Parts: sequence; structure tokens; C-alpha cells
Amino acid sequence: MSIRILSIDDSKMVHMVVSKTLKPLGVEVLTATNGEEGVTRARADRPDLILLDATMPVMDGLAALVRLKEIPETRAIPVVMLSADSGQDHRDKAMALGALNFISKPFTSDSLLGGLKGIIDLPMSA
Amino acid sequence: MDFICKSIQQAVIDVFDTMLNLRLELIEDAGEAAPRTTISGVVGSVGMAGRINGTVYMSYPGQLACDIVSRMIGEPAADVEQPEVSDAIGELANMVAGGMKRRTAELGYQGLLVPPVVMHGDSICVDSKSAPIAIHRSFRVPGTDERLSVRFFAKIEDQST
Repeated sequence: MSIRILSIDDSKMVHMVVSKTLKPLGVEVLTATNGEEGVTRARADRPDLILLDATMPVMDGLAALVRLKEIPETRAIPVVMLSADSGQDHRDKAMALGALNFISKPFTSDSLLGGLKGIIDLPMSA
Repeated sequence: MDFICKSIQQAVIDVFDTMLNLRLELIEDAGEAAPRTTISGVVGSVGMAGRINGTVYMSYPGQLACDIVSRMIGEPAADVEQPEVSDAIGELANMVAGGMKRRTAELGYQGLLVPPVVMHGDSICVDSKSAPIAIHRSFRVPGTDERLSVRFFAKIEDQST
């Protein structure tokens, strides 16, 4: 069974860039376009890891992170923030709420993979 | 104001270099932007609130916007009305604003970002009479004769307010 990563971001462009990086490694990339949809999807699909944007409509990333850590079925899923809003205050808040890492946008394939290192075991190449 | 100019320039160059592998070149120091100005093409804008209150506008000629989006998503984008164009132009503005916010926060100017807004048209009037800071920078995009323009209208709040 392949590794499944849920990308929660309101930008389809970000989903495409994430998919371009992870799909060649055999990772299945699931997507959601706001925090509320992401929490629902995480609860239903139980991905191996969640990539979470901060600034989103409907429910923002930090609110979604709080919900994910409250729900028993999603509490243990590792969450990595992937956000343009990468000030130290924001990072500290996300880490305090249970995120395991914070990847800043703009990001490269290397910085994305580097940010997941040690949190999930990905094959090194396709 | 110099630190804001540098933050904008560096954020724009960093985002395009990282996401698109494009080394933008600052082609003119346009100084202060006119408080009332007309922008055309595709415009991505993001508001900032906090010690720096303002809005950044990144405007692209239509063809340049399509070319940049095509490069980014690896699929042709022929029309500025395609949802992929709005999505990508908005996300680029969001990343630039995020880079500005991070750089200015390191200097003590904390703030929040507002989700991006994307507009397109031939005559978008921006009237920012109440903004004492008005910055305009233009960048050449390698391989084209077109320019990306970045405007930032803002005011800095006194720390005591």
C-alpha cells in the first residue's frame, strides 16, 4: 500500500507542485482546498501525513490544526505546515498546536522533501 | 522606508527564483508610486495588517501571466480567465507578501496577511490617497520583453497604538 499524503491548500497550483514532487516517489496525493474540507477528508481517509497551508478560506490552517488534534481519528496523523506566512510567531504557534515541522513557501522539491525527512519514510527516488 | 523596499524586492526575486527558476532583474527604481494609478493586465493583491497596514499589487501583462502560469503548472494557459491563472497569480502574490511579512517581522514589524485577491482588466484604478508609503518596482522577466510591476501602498502604525 502506497503512502498517502493529504495536501490542504486553497491553491491548486500548490497541489500540482506537491504532486509533481511526491507522485514520482509512489506517494498518493489527496487534496482539499480549505481547512474544513481538509479535516473531513482526513477523518474519512486517514492519510499518513498532512501538509497544511495557513491562510485559507472557510477554516484557516491553525484552526484546522486544532480540530485535527481534537478528533481521535486524526490526532495521531503527523501534520507539517506548508505556508507563505512563515514568521517566527506563526511557526511557534503551529508547533505549539502540534505541527511537526514548518516548510516555508516558496518551496522547492528539495525543501519539501527535506521538510518531511524524519517524519515519514519516503523512497529516495522514483 | 528603505527596509520595506528591500523586503519587497528580495521577496519577489526569491519567489520567482524558487518557484519558477526565473532570475528577475530589477529594471528601474521607479521610486514612489502615484497615489492614484491605473493598472492593467492580471493583478494579484494581498493585504497586510499590523504595524504595517497596506496592500501589495503585482501586475502582469496578460500574456506574461499566462506564460508564467504555464511554466509553473507545466500545462499551457492560454487565457487570463482560466481559473488556473487566477489561482497561480494569487498564490505568487501570497508568497511574496509572506516573504515581505517575514522580513519585516524580523525588524519588529509584526503583522497578519489577508487571503489574495486576483483581478484582471484594462483599466483597474487603484486610489490610495491615505497611504503615506507608495512604492513601485518593475522587474524584467528573462526571455521576454515584458515587465512585472509591483506596487505597495501602506502606512506604518505607531507602536503605541
